[in-house]
Amino acid sequence: MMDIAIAFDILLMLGCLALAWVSIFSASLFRCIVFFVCFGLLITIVWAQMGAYDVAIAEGAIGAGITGALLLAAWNRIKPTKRQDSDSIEERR
Amino acid sequence: MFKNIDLKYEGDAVQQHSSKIIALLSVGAVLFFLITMLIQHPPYEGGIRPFVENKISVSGVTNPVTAVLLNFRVYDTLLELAVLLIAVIAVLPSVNSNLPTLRILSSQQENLVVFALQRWISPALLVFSGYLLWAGASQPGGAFQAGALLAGGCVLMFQTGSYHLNYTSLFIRIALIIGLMVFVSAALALFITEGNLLQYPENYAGVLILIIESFATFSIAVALAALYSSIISTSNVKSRGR
Repeated sequence: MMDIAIAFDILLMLGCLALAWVSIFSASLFRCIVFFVCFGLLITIVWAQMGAYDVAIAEGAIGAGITGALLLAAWNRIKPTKRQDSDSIEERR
Repeated sequence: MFKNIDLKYEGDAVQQHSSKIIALLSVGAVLFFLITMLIQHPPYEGGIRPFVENKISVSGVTNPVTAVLLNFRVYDTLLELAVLLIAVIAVLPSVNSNLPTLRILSSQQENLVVFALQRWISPALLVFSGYLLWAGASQPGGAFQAGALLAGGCVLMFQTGSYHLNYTSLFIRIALIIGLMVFVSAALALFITEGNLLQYPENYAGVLILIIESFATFSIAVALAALYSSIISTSNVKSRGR
């Protein structure tokens, strides 16, 4: 029983790291935002796993919900064109 | 001044490779020292848990997190509210408009899914955020969570495109500051009666916390919704201008 819990924690850790990576280094800003929201949801599970339910609720509501909506609104406002996006990819390479 | 965000970047200011190596070295060095320090440092035991648990009976609530946030370290929460208010004031539309506070538009682009979802979920969100606020006294929950949930409901409401709030109207302006106002006036009243800023009398601590939390919830919800919709509405104006 204990092993399953540990395996779950390790999976959670790896998932957090992977999502953190793709939420920064994804090709388009839109994908970054979507991955960031997913990252927030995963962090919510991490907080709940550690027993900090207050923080988990706040993270779920603010980190994944409102922040995601705000980021999408900001994205909608600057609307990076295809050209800028591909430029930024080239810069990263 | 900030209307057009200029993200253009012309040419290299520094050499790419050398700056990468410098960044890598400095980050690596800092990480190395931090990790070695953390490994050598003995784990800190105790913390403030025993202090909180000793004093929880006089705090007026039974949830230790709420007790810390709204009684023992209430200054932090007060200043947090002030920070949120300042952030909202910074993004609010700079022009006063005389539109009514809430307008219900006949929506141009009827999105049935969003509309139905909003209809179904809004009452549940309202009830649940009220529950979170109430439950904050004894279980996980509290003003910030409840406010964020309400704001999420508001965001969904704006997404349907059939509601429009005027954030410079008097009612909304009062709603934005009332959380902080109640907080500060409670602090001043307690300063006069108790002799210390925000030192709750033992018998009324629970009631005072609930009052402050409810107004704070309202303000937080309006503030977060205003933050979202002022960003969204500017984009609408811009796209219409194109």
